[in-house]
Amino acid sequence: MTEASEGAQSEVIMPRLGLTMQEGTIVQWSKPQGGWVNAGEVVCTIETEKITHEIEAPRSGYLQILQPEGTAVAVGAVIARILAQREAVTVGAARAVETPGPGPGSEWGTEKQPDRVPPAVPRREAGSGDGRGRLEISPVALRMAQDLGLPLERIQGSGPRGRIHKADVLRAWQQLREESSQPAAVDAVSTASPPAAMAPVQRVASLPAYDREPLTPMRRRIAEHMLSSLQETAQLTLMMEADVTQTLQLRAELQQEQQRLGGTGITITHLLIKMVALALREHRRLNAALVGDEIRLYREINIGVATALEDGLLVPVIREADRKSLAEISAELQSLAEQARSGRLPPDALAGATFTVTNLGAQGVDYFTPILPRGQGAVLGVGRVCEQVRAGAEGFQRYSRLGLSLTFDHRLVDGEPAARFLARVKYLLEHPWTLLLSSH
Amino acid sequence: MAEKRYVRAVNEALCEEMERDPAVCLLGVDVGAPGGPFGATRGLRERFGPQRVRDTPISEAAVVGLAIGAATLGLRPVVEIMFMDFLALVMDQLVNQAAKMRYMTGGQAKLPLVVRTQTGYRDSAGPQHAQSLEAWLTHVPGLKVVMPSGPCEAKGLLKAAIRDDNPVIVVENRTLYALAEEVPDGDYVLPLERAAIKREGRDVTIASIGIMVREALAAAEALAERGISCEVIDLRSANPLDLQTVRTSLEKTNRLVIAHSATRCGGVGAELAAALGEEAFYMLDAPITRVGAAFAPIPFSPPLERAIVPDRTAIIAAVEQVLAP
Repeated sequence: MTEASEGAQSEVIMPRLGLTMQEGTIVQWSKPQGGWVNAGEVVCTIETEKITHEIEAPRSGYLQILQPEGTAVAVGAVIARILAQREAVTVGAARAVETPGPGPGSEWGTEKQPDRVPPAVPRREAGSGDGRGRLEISPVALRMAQDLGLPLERIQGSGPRGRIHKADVLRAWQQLREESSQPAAVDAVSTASPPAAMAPVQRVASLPAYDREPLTPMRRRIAEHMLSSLQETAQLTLMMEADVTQTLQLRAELQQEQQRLGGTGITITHLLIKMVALALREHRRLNAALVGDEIRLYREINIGVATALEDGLLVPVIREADRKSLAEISAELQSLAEQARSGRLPPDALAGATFTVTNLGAQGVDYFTPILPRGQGAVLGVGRVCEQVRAGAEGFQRYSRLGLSLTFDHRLVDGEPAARFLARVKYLLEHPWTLLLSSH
Repeated sequence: MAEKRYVRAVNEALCEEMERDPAVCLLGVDVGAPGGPFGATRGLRERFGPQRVRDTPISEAAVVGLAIGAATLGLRPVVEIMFMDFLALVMDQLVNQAAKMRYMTGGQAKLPLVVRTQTGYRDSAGPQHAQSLEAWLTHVPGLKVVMPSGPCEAKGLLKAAIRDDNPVIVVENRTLYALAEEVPDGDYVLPLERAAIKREGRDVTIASIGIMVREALAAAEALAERGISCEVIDLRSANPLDLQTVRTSLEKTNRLVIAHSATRCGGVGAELAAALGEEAFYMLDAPITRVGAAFAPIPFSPPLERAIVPDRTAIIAAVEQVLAP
């Protein structure tokens, strides 16, 4: 093996986990700086806008961390090296990266930021006018002052020859915050989180108190998507009810059959995915997007299914749903949802949706106004099923009602064709046996 | 659990391991009929026979060489070297044979050898019978070195050393042999590579080894009355050093005193301080301070000996120094 290839093998690189990925955030190093790792052992957890991913050591050796936790790193950049000698770790390890302050709850001197070397500090030389001569500060105090953005001139040292200790930094920091009466002044002092002992952020007169929660990459990405979607498209929502009495009956029978066959359960969502996909075959404008100055009519019908997570939302995709059987859709969706909740979803499973279905029925919502996902022209919101009574020719009649909400991009589709598409979905829900005519 | 003296805990560990594994045997000057120079092997010859408990001539290098051969061929010999100072006679066997055997045979030969020896001072044993020479051994890759600080460690670490497939030197302390403490009965084994927190505290970490653990605990007790809270760590093993436990403690205290009875110069504390200087510099709120013997032979004269070797007073002074002002 040549030296060059051995060198390359020893580098831990920020991987590209999807076509759109530009950067990833280092969530956690599983091993300390200089710690021993075996080839294939997990050394680091990273997070992209879509998933969290564990990175394994390319070979065995001592871990040299180059990027601290919380840093966003471009795809392809070297985030760590695996070295043959422990002594080599300190050469060039995690240096002077511009990082935000420690996250809430972290403490100085914890492993979370192993041995980060603070940027050089201008030393006050003797005769510089302050009469204190050369500045003395302990290593941990220096790191804390820099994390807090605290000017060293503001800190009174209590050690020998005026050496600044950790306690002095904490005292100065607290003093400065107490002095500040304006929130702007507080922010000017520090954008970093306070030491754990002082959280939550102190109350400033006339402003409500709050706790800080940093945005996770997933939350940041959701925020960007939602806002740009509302700003860049002309969205409106049509609402329509469907009588799903027959569909529910069909579902119950399919469910029994699946049980007999040992397959996964069939839900109304699975039936809807299939029906929507078939309806989209006849209404291609709803399976499209307006991009730049062209309309892209997608050839595939890939249905995204919004799946709630504890701290956000993922949309796994059923590709070519119109060509899949209900049993296939059910099995695929169950497997995707499990992978999504455990954070192990392959990045490609989240890309390529041409139409999205989102369901808030379980929470008791009838109708809502879903927001268009980027690159799609329509999204169907599914409400709850509830028992209703309607006045018919033969008197009052019980039926099961489902609320449907179709948001679409009016730049691309007008109200009338969109309504016809929605009516088609309603028709399929009310006449579910027409599914038999489809290829699957 | 019963109260046992340090020397009794050593005896119990040897006895239990000999019961457990017929490959365990004892070699050394006076370990047989006399029951050991300090009584650690008392009763074992009667119990296990002269075949497994062998008195040897006063020829340390030959005895350890014999034990290395026996270990290579499958026995688990435990050699007693009466005073640690006499290890100088054994260095070739330990350094060039025992430490290298496993490496040079590509792992084909195991070397389950234990060398028990002891150190100690404040008893006017003089320049040739009171040295703490563990740092010599820690400089050699392939040798493990543990220093039991009390009866529990004496039993638990010795049992682990006998079961280890590598050469382990167990440095006992004769001035602690009479110390009695509750020691767990039966199979009590301590890991060879892990330090223990003997007392929790928040202001200063005292990393100590061997008899200095006792002195550090006494110092911490005295300092507590003045409102100073010390965390006392028993390193237990001089090689490998458990840096992780010390680091974790430093995260809390940011200040470190290291205490051992060996000479400060080139001691185990020097390695620990240097390693933490590399790996934990930005946790430090004060310079790391070491407590150890002065760079001089240990005198016979009791007043001079007291002046040379460290004790709790030296530890208290070091704690005051790292907490200054």
